[in-house]
Amino acid sequence: MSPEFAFLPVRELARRIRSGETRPLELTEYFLDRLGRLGPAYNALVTLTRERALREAAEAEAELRAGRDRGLLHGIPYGAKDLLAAAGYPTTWGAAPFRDREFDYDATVISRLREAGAVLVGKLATVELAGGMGYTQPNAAFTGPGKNPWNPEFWSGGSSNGPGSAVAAGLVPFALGTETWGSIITPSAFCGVCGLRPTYGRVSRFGAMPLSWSLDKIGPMGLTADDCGIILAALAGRDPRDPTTVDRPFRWDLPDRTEGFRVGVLKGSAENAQPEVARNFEASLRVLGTFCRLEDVELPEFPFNEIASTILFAEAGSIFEEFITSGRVGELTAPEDRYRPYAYLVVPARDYLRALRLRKKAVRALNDLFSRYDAVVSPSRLTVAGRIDQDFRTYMPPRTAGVPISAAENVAGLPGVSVPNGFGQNGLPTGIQFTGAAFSEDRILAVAHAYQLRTDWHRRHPAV
Amino acid sequence: MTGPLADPKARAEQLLALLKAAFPDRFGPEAEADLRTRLQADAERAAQLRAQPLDFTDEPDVVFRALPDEP
Repeated sequence: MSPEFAFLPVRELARRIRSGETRPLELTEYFLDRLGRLGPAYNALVTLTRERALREAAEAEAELRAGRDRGLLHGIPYGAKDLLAAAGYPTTWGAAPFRDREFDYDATVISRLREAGAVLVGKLATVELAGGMGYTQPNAAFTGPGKNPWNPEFWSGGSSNGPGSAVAAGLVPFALGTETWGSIITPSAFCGVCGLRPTYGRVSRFGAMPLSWSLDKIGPMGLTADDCGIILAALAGRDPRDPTTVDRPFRWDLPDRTEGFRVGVLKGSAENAQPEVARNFEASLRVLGTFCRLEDVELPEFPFNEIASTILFAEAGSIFEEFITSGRVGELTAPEDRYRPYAYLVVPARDYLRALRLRKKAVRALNDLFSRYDAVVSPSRLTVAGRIDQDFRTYMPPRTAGVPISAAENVAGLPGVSVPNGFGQNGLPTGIQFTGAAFSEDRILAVAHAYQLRTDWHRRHPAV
Repeated sequence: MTGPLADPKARAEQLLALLKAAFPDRFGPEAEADLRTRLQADAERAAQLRAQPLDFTDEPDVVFRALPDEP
């Protein structure tokens, strides 16, 4: 197959399947080969799901031949972050104590992609336990540090490091990542791909490792904002097995509207950024200014970091209580992950409840603000990726490792999509993030898509 | 309320002592210093949260909804 297939968006792959230029089985074998051969170079692959992939691809091919078309994802290969259960294969959570553990069921998101005809080709690497044990450097999984396809001496970002690397290197057309606090947006920005963190409750968490019940989200990572919309449409919807899911339909097609958006610019969001990140953000604003009305916005005043941290530590401490107190936490890869979680066990209940009470007020205030805009923009990260042997604390300013909006958007469960917007130090990608009010994925994706109609950063790919 | 139950420092010291005794190989001076810093940060976070005004009408969402006022 022509090497260009490695970097074609879903919509284009779907067209080529229907035109006969390729077939699901051929596409699947192509990506199985790429992922199997090149995935280990980036520490992106945990398990190739070869038998399952070939079976699903053969079924897709037969159905399409028989005239049963399930939609754009029919016959398209993808990878799933290894927090997501898939029957017949290990689901390791990136953690050495669980490397051989299997579940005998599929996570809902994997079932839904199966219903859409997509083909699971591999389980992709994750920082151990979704990064929730407090890791401070990239070597925090039994698969090793995630390596950036743009420069493998640098980190891919986490905790969805496998999805980020695999999509950036053209090893899968798209992947499923997860985010509790930054884990879709960070690798998307660092690897130069598009990543969508949906509204909390939009996508079922059933079958996904929980890190924090009220902060965890599952979302797509792909080559375009349009792809993220296509994939979300397959994932979204009420699931009785996850009572936090809501019955709000999400449909996606290429939007007719490509201008006239009202966009908020988060004031001061680039203040602590590396100069190249700030420069790229300014350049993005100039592009946005040609088709959007831009206004400065400021977040309402709440202790977002403190609220998010308290909720995360209390919930993770409860979820992993036995794992911690039994001492098995001592088997994790990152040395700091072996003792830091003990601090979660001493978060008082009254602190957790206070955080929840403040959260509700913050959610109302944030939605009140964000609902006035089609999107609010900020740099996705304040830096490019650091080296794979570098402690984060040496290059990320404390408490601003993301941008000021990162804690707020996760406290409130708001949707956000990161798309590439240039390059910075060491030839590494930078990203711009579009955040919206709850359940406004159609609007933020429309603005991001319109941005990508006017730029070509998403069409740049590393030499792999 | 006074005494060790209300004092996050006392709680932290208790935890650190327990860990040093239980896991001497995993919990050396560097780890202790790191965890002490984390626990101090946790205490500061808690203080920040307590500085925020709340009254009895501010109930938590025990099951979180992204739009809490919708059914």
